[in-house]
Amino acid sequence: METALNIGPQHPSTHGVLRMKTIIDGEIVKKCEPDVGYIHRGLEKIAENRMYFKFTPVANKIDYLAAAAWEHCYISCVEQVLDMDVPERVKWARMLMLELQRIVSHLFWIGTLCMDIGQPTVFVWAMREREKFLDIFEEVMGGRMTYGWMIIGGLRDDITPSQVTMMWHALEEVEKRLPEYYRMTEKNHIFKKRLQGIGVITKEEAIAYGLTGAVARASGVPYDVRKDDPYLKYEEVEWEMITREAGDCWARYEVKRDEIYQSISIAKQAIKKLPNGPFRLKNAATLRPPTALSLKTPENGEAFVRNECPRGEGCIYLRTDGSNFPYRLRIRGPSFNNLCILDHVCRGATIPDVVAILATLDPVFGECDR
Amino acid sequence: MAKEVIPAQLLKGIGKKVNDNEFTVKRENIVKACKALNNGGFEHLTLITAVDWQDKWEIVYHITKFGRKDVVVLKVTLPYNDPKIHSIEKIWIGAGWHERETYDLMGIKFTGNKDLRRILLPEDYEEFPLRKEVLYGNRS
Repeated sequence: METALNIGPQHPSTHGVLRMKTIIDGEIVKKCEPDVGYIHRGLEKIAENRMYFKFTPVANKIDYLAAAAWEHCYISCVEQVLDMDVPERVKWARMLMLELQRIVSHLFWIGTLCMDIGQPTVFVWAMREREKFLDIFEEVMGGRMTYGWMIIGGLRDDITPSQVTMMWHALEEVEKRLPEYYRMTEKNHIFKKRLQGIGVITKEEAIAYGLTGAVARASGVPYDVRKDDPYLKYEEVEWEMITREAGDCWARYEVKRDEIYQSISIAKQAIKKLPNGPFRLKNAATLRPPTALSLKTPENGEAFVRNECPRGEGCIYLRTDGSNFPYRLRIRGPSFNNLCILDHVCRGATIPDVVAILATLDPVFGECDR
Repeated sequence: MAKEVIPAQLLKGIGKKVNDNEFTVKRENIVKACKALNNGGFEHLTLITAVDWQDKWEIVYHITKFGRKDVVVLKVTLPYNDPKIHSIEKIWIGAGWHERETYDLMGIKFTGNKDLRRILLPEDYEEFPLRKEVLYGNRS
């Protein structure tokens, strides 16, 4: 007999505010329709009513777990339309912080995944490691979760040598600690069984549904914007794109796990190569009125930027009309597009599997609902 | 990066080249153009955007291919009083949610989309908030 079961929107394992209208037969899910939009804030409309520099703090809140990624996405989009080429030091510094942000975001993700699967110890450990990085963010970027550190044409503050030392120690420490996590997860039979062979997404499905990020790479889709369309200095550091063929929850776990190591490696190289030089352009839009208020955008200007955010391909498409306000700003939230496969994957799975599948799809609802 | 496939040849007779990677396509040709690109190896639909120019609509498609540095842009202009275009859900299933979102916020009707309902806003919402005619607060 089929029963309708409503999951969410306030259930903790929905990672925020997702409602799933599920039809179940016993414990088998027949249909699972995701209902998104509970924290839709109308960011695209807000953007049209704010001057370019005033949208930066809002851009931070697109994905509140990886604010720097979206801050950079927005700032680089405006820089592209203004035809600004930022100094070398800025590029390296931004890349360094983006990778630290990716580590933080992935750590949080591993923590919440383990919590959903019933391994709360790892959650507490991940929070402990994350805390070190949040301290660094507070020191360097002026905030623990949301920053406003990047400005159009450079950075608000420079990175000091003592901060670099802090970063290096934190990276060394997290690298040392990570194997402990794996003893709690990979050596754990239950954890493995909950993920292996569950929620398989084939390569063809991943492409047809437009999945990106770790979800797509776990299904064998070789797509990482950092490799495909390198921005900042990703071409000048050595790292590899992690892919898996299996496409199940376990593969998605493995991809993200290995990406932390890659990010640590990129961050270390960035620290070593961080050049000296100015940390902003002369005409950067600092928060002092004359520069920020007199931004001249081209009439009928257009810019499209794609970045590899921790959750997938994040894009911002900007149209300008010569005024100090964006004419149209379109945000592609990777979580939104990764979620559209949920119904397809969940069919035939059991209810506990839905939790595992959702956790490995890794949606963040700030980004999904925008 | 080598440009092994030249989009201009793929879209010959379907779209008009504006610059290197940008094409304007007529409303009735959009499905054909997307199919041609998809067959030519452009397998990833990144984004569907609608822009409200107050006298016309512009629907912008960003399509790319794995390992390619640039993105192909297709632009379709629709008359203001008739915002209707054919859905490309049959080519990319993922386009369905993009289209639903565009319908939800802009009111563009995608004919052929199986499930064209509001997605982010409540079902009984009356306006299409991203339209320029809908005013929101003060500009500052």
